[in-house]
Amino acid sequence: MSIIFQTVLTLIQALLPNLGGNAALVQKILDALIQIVPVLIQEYNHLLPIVKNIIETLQGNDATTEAQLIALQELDAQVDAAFDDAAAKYDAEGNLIAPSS
Amino acid sequence: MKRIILAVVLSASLGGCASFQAFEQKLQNVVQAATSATVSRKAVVVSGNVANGIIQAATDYLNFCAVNNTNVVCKKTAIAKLIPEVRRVQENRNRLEVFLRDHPGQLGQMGLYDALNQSVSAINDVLMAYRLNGAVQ
Repeated sequence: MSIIFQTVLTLIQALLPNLGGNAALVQKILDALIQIVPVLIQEYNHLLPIVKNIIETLQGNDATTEAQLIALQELDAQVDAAFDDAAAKYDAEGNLIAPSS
Repeated sequence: MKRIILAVVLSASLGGCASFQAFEQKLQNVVQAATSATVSRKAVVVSGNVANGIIQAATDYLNFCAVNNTNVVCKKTAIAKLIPEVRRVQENRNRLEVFLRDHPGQLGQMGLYDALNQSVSAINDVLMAYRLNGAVQ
């Protein structure tokens, strides 16, 4: 995964406690996310739904946040299933136990 | 916790002491603030998505190493640390989301929120320690 994407996520995480009522901060986060969307479309398509959900949550109001919560739980299921498949290829010591398909 | 128990014991034995009652009130305020700290639902949803982004980073790394096992960035020790850390993030994220779902209209619980953020940071620490961040292109 692009180091830029991970850095952006880490920054967002650090800024979250200051979000409440800070419209300028929300806008800056949105600007950063919107800027990386073209890169995601080109190379990291599977990350788009995550970024889309963050953007829609930040842009929305309390009512739309509830819709984003439901969307997040659907994303959870997809992300977890993909991780389970990947993790199943390794044992507890990190040795590869199954050939990759 | 020991201090709280001590305060309760002291409170029972010194119930009539005005200065202690003032102290007890202050202590109650502190405990109440610590246990009722909340975070906005919006912050929780964004945080859940950040967690998913980090889980996806870990997934990409595992998939990459499954087909490039001899690549220098594929380290058994990193993989062995990464998998349980991701499980912890999933657990904390789910706990926080269940809280939101079960408490419609309420703010998220700060303790659950902090636990999620700490576990996400732990994955980042593994990725940084083994310099895996840019490994999967």
